[in-house]
Amino acid sequence: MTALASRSARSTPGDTRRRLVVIGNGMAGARAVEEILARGGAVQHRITMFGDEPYGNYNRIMLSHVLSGEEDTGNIFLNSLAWYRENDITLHSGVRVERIDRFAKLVFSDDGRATPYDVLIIATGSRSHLPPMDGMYTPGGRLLPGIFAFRTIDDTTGMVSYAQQDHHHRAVVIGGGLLGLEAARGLQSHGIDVEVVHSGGHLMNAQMGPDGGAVLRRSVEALGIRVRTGSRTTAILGGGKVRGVQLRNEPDIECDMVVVAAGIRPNVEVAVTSGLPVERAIVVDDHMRVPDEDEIYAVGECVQHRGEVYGLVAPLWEQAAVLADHVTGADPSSVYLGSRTATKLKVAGVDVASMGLQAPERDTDEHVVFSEPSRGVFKSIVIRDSKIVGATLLGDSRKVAYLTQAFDRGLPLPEERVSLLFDLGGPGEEAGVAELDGDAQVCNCNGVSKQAIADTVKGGCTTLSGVMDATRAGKGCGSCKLLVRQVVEWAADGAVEEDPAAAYYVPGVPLEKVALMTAIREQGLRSVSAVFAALAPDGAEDAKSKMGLASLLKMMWAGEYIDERDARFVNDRVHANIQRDGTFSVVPQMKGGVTSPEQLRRIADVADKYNIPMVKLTGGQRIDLLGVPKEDLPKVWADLDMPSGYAYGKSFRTVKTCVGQDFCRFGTGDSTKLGIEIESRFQGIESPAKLKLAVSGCPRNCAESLVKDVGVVAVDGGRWEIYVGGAAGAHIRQGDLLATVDDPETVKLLAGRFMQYYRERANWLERTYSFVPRVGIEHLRAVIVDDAEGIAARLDEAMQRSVDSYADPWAERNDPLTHGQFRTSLPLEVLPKVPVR
Amino acid sequence: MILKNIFLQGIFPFDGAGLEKAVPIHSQLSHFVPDGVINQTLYFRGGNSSPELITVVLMRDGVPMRYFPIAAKGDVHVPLRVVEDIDGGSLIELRLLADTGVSGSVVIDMGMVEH
Ligand SMILES: Cc1cc2nc3c(=O)[nH]c(=O)nc-3n(C[C@H](O)[C@H](O)[C@H](O)COP(=O)(O)OP(=O)(O)OC[C@H]3O[C@@H](n4cnc5c(N)ncnc54)[C@H](O)[C@@H]3O)c2cc1C
Ligand code: SF4
Repeated sequence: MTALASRSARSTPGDTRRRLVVIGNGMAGARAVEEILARGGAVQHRITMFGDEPYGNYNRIMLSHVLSGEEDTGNIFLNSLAWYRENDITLHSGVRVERIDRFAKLVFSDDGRATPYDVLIIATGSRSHLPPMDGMYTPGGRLLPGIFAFRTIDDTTGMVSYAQQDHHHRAVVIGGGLLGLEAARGLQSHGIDVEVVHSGGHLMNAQMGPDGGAVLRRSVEALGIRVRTGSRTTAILGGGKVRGVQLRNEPDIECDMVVVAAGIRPNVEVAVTSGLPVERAIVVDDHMRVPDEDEIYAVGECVQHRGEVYGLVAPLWEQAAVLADHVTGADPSSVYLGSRTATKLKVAGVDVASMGLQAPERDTDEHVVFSEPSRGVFKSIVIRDSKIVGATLLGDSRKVAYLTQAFDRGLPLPEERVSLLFDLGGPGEEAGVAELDGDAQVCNCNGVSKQAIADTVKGGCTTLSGVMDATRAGKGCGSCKLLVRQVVEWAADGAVEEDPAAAYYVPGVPLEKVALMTAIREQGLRSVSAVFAALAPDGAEDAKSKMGLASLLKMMWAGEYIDERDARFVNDRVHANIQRDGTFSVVPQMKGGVTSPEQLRRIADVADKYNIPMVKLTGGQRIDLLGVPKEDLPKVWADLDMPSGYAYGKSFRTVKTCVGQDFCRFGTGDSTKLGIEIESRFQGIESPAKLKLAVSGCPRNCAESLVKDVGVVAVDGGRWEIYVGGAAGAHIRQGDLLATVDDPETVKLLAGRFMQYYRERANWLERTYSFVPRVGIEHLRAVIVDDAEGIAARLDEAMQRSVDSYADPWAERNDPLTHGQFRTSLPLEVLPKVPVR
Repeated sequence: MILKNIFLQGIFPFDGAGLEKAVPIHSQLSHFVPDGVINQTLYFRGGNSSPELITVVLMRDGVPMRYFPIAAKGDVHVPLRVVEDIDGGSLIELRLLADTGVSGSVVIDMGMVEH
């Protein structure tokens, strides 16, 4: 390695500041620098940071959200590159430090650089521990494809793209601790079937005892994650890539990917090579200084302080503050005495808090336990000499703030122990917040105290989201959001302003739905780009808002809507449902589920002619032709010569019917006929989310009318019941009875009026099963049946206009609207194959 | 991370049984690492009252992991910096090698951490 002579190269003449070098650009390193800057450290120090990840500084905690797809990697950065520039910090990202010369005061990095320092901070964090197992590595020494750790952005994005490949369906997560469960939950959201293999006797055994672990297991299994405890993985199976795992004394598990979350190990190589004292991690004193080294500090997960190594962020905030006090000389008496770690986390969606002991240790210890496994609630508190020495709370975090404070400070406890677990006519939650000390930590993930939140509110920030942005409180695992809101409310003395953005119809236009519609109508905005130009701040277009606006405009303007293709999702651009392998599925209309031999024959011919790999009956009583390449779509539609069944859009889709009166022994109404009429009338109308309907000929409900967005049931005496807001998908809900009417004409009228009201009032992508309970069935009944607001005629008329402007989108086949609309997008890359049965 | 410290310690009389085979010193000097936790040894301290060299052996599942020779009437302190992990399900044990005819007391204090 040739050391560049950078000792003089980079120092500006006349710059007499001390050279501060930080190794590790993670949560602790960056936080330490922030604390140093906050103490005026920039005047004393010229700062250089090394980080071996090729990024700026990001919130590692949020990787769980990135894995589950809730958050984008772009949104988890704590300090942008601009921050480094503005603070005059030299950042070497993607550069690994290999050795420190403590005597020459030089840091050697793998880009051949030798960087001199006056003060050095080591913040190298830790890495995933990969326990030795057979078959983990390829002969070349790399991890077998399909095995992942869970620590960095690269690990996470790698996992996501692997999980999204079609032929990957099953994953095994090794380790049932915090990270393992997060990984399992995250993978699930990509449709992966997950099994957790844990060597401990119960889940999260580092944080809780067997009873809590059993309750957690139930909650986790209820999410559809299989759990195996007391099992050890002995080998990974597969030649070129993962095919399964081998367990000790148990049958092998087949899988396509393996995530190893079996603990972490501090990154101490640099310190060991450089002769610094290392035990389990780099040893530091109460000043965060490495013993016998005046100018070398260490902070974060790579540190061992008084025998403890911490694996959570809360202690690292305290360490960083003490370190900064000494590095800048701001407070030479500042000491770090260790942290009592109370973890408060959301693990796989379950609230988990734990502190101190898991179970009583002495005969005189009191143990207060409450367990309600069916609700996933478990609370256990260990008390010694009237002080809390340990607590575990699962599934209910309302008392956590108080308990944490009592644990931290050793506060005396109320005589009636049960009030530690529940609010029993005692002070309400509001009072609970008022009682918290100013320095009580509200957000553990980002180390935000009650005082910091109160100060922000006093500083004039009175919306919840404003406070969250300003302090970062609630932006980690999210388990403290409720508490943050309470503190904000308390600090603002009730004068909390609702965050307006939460009510916007689409994020890019700052208006609620009704106001947005009024503005659109008044200004005559007929296209998505016109709406952005007129109503968005600075006229900025926002990709996330386009689909919602397109749907709204189409609903409002019907035939007068100006269609812009870029505003549509691919399904709507090509009028077919994109499948996992990039091909499409074609579903011809089949009103009320009724077909004819002629139609069947034609479908069969098309299936033959285009080698359709799979023909399948759908749940909505239609025939699905799966596996059609994009460029074949127009030809397939032409040969079918049937209208689209709308299996793809955010629109009215289908009406399922039973055989009804004519054929069924029980039927009292002609369900098939009515279903066909409804489908003919409302075919293809746009709506905030898909609409699925059904009509049944009697209360036996063979068409499952009670769990549809709009369901109709014939009852005795020739009458019809109309149900709205039902669902039978991921969410299950029985619809609410809207009205019982005398004739099919009224059914069509009221169903249409309901759908129009829903189209106008529902949020984008809000299904009726959320919309109906949100506005209330009484209100709906009043507006739709009794016309309490006097808008019925207008709603009917608006619906009629949409009905009149219906055009079969498949007719576009001969006249593509945009160049390349049906050009193949395959194969840009080799796409995975959907299995054909 | 919640840690638990574990110590194997005490003062034990011994009678040498030869240098070929390490023999148990006392039943207190063994520890079974529970399933699901990881154990790391942190340090070993030992003292020897006999007039001959003795060796304390750290065994994992019956296989020697580390040897700690202690001089006649001497003592040692070995900080075991970042040693390997010992997985749950393993048996850790301290045994002794001392020549036949040698007897005395051995002072033992070994610190471990489990998490
Ligand atoms: C998915 C996930 C979820 C988590 N959730 C929570 C949670 O909910 N609550 C909580 O409290 N904690 C959580 N944690 C733990 C938390 O992220 C860590 O405690 C925290 O990141 C530790 O900060 P650190 O700066 O010490 O280490 P890191 O953030 O790991 O930063 C160290 C950086 O230094 C770099 N580095 C290492 N060696 C070198 C070298 N030689 N040269 C240059 N650079 C080097 C590393 O690549 C890394 O970028 C979670 C962790 C993960 C992975
Ligand atoms: S719902 Fe009633 S009418 Fe319709 S098929 Fe079932 S039993 Fe017959």
